[in-house]
Amino acid sequence: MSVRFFPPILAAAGLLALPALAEQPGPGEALQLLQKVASAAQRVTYTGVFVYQNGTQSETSRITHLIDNGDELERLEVLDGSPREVVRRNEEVRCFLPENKLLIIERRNAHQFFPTLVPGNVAGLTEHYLIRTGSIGRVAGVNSRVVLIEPRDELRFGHQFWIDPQTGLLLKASLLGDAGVVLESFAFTELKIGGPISREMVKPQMEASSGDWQVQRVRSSETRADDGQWLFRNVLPGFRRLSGMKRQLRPDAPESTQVIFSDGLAAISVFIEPLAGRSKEETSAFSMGAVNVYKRQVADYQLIVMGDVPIGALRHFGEGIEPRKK
Amino acid sequence: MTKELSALFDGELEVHEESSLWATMKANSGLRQNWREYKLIGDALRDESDLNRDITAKVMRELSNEPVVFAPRPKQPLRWPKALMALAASAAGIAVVGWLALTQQLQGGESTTLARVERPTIVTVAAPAPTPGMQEYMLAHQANAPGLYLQGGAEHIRTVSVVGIGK
Repeated sequence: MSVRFFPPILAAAGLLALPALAEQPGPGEALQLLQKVASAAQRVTYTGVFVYQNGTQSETSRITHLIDNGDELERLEVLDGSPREVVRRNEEVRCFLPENKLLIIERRNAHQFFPTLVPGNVAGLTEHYLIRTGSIGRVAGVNSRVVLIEPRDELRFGHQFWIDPQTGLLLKASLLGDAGVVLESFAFTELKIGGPISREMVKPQMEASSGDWQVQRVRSSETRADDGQWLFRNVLPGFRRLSGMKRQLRPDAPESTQVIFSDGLAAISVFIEPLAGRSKEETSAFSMGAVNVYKRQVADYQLIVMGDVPIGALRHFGEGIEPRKK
Repeated sequence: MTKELSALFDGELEVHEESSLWATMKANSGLRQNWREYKLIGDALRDESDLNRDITAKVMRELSNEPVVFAPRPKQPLRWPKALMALAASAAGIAVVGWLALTQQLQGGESTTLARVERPTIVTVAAPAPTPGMQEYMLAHQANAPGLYLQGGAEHIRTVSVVGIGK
């Protein structure tokens, strides 16, 4: 007698007894896991060591994320080579680059504090990605669920996630290019989830106040999502405009605009700056690891378009940006 | 609303704005009238001789007068132009195969299996370039652009990794 002819109640009991059978590889479970990932980063306290790989290069870093008295604190320290550090306390991000003796202080957009994906958006992902659960893997001593995300077109990259089903933390992740080539990946080798973690762990080790450090404090203010000055003709399917900010890199620099687009997984930033006497430059495209960059000048403005999407898609998007005629 | 209409006329709306405006126009006859007037002004400015001939009503009337045929359509024999096209297509196919074979021979390639065509490599990542002064953009991008994949502090690795610094 085959399983199909079991009365439903017996079949249900059978599934309870054999949890392995209950795992239905479909988008439903995968989407639930992604939803968990989306909200985990803001809620979970953890510290761990991870390896970041990009092309032939790899580096080890320590990361600590702490939720304490309503404050969100995190610290990233690169353990190989020069000790670069990024420390965040709520909206303020401080990035220490000791080789360049440069400290960049950035105020994050307050939008960030909401989970990046609300349930509606997670379901919307399936329009542009094929999402399914994979096998069960073990990463940094934690049993994880694998979620595979394949793009349905050539406008975005694929992903492979290893997720801790208990907390929703990403234990390992790969960004996949054409034909499944790994463009970039990170994987925890050591991870402690939950406290206690002292505030000492999230304090910067570097002191930029002394001596010859250059401090670059970026001033930014949110603008309306559409201030109407610029026209984006070639918004990639599935991408939405999320926010716009006016920003000033240096007190003497002209004010520029950053507009962000996202399809829920990939993000594109557009920086629009007045040329302000800078020399004309040829249109160019280059990569910073898995992040592609497209630079173009239009009507006395410099556009810098960057994001983790294929260069062809980024160029197409960038070519469609123009000032709106008055 | 007329401002949007004017933007639509100049082709300055984004795709989603356009489609919502078309939908509004469908329901709003006043807007449709505006649209026709803009079109008329445009035509007049361009010295068009045949100004504002609104054929909408005529087309709709003709359409409703069209007889509806319920009879099944007989299967049509392959007509001459189609046969000619098929012939031309296969000739073109032969030409392509011939050309492929020729180029392979010219390149001294030993393989003659033409059936297996390699998928072309699609470039997804641009060539790296020295990127001085790009850190602040990368930091702004990673700090403000939400991603599911690198988060909880890990997103900054792109900014401070050797790749991000441009070495």
